[in-house]
Amino acid sequence: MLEVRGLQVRYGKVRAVQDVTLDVAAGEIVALIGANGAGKSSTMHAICGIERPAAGQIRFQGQDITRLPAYRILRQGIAQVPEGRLIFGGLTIEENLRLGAHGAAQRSGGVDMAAVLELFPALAERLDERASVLSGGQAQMLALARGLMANPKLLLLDEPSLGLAPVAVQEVFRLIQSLRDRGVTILLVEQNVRQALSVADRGYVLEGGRIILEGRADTLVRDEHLVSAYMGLKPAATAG
Amino acid sequence: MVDFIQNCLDGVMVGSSYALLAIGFTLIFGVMRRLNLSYGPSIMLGAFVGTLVYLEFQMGGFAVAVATVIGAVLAGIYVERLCFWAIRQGAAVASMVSSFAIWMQLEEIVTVFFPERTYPFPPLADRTAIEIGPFFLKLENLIMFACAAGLTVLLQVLLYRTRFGLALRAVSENPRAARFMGINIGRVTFWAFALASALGGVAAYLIIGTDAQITPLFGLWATFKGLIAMMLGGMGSIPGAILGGLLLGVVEAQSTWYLGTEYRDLAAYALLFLFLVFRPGGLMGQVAAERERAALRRV
Repeated sequence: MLEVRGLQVRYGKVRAVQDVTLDVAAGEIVALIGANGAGKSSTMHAICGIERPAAGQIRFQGQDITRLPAYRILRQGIAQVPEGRLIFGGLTIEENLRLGAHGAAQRSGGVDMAAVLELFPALAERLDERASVLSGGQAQMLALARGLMANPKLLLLDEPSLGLAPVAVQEVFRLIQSLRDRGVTILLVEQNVRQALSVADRGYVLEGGRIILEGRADTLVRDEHLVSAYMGLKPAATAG
Repeated sequence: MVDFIQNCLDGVMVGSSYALLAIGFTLIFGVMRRLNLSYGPSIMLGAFVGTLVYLEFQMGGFAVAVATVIGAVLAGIYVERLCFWAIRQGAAVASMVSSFAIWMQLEEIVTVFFPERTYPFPPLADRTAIEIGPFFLKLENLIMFACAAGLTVLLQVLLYRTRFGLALRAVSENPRAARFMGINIGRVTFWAFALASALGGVAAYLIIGTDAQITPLFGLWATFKGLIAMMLGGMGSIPGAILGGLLLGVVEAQSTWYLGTEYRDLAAYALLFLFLVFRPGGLMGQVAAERERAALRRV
């Protein structure tokens, strides 16, 4: 479904992504793992068109999308739930959700808000409230719901558990699990390696802007290098 | 007391046109976070297109108004393409400085084609006044106020009831997040400029119609009034722009009455000075400043 070949992303002279090649097949959940600054978010931004790649190719459903602007890529069916959630605090929850469907509206139909809200009963009761009143966990739920409003074929999740309390982290991963049951294809960036690999089918490990390891999630979990490098960090240590 | 209230009434009505100018500035500043100094001059150019229609084709009020708005929108789009779209990757100050350069250019263009300084403009209404108890309301001021109020309501509907309005508010609040929503920022900015210029065109028609004459200096005048009203209200807030415009109108009316015409602008600048020292965020700016800080935290 998604093919990334030799991707390179630069910020001025800094090369955030050196050479990334990865694939995501339809119906899969793929985890992208790595330390801070390894190039995970830059890879995600290049896929959805927020950053323009310096080199390499990105194909989605057989079409070259490497140099398309972000709003055209979203119309093709790739939505991103960005790191830090980027909720519009001054707008209502309903307006945030409608914005999620904004880019996809030109594509066939978009999605029914009621159908999305079935997954998020807590949001359904508060549609008219300003989004700024939401707690971190609730705001993440809104960000996820907003991403689903685009009715994406491929959903990019950038650090969905970052900065959340442990209970909220559990809720986020339960939701990812239920999205998989509905057949949504997901590319997931996470620092919470153990959790990420527990929901993913396959994983890629990024270091210094390159893929250094890839494989099935259940194999990666047992990989010694990975365990020593990332899993010594307890998830709770990054929660705030 | 009667004088004071009369001045307030006059001030609010004239101030409603300042509010339109301030809203125009605010819309542009909101989506771009950049200041368009050329806003006044571009609607001045529009007003001269209106004058042309008036003088050359002897057409009346409505045709002149339409010509003014069309001229203002075209000039506004010209400024947007040149000073904002073309250098959108560059520093914000580059846009501001180039909009100043285009200001000079627009003024020169008008001076070349209209070499005499002053030209007639169709008056908004005859000089009748309506008497209500001890107060007098000039017909032209009433028309101005009614048009400004009507447009503000229409704008509110556009911003809060349409897809474009939602996208515009999203871009104003957080352009980066708006890109993740698949909003075409360039297109929203373009239409925000066109919308602001159209509002400015109507404001120009109302204001110049009250004077029944136009000079190229109107550009400078409109930029000043709009900027001051926006800063009084708080940068980036539309309710603030409305309040700022009305406040500016009232202060001008009061100072004209009690101190004399020569002190009118001085009073306006003194008010702006006091605001900048004691309440730099403006009337509604605290809210906008909060939002700005929140947006920065999110980055």
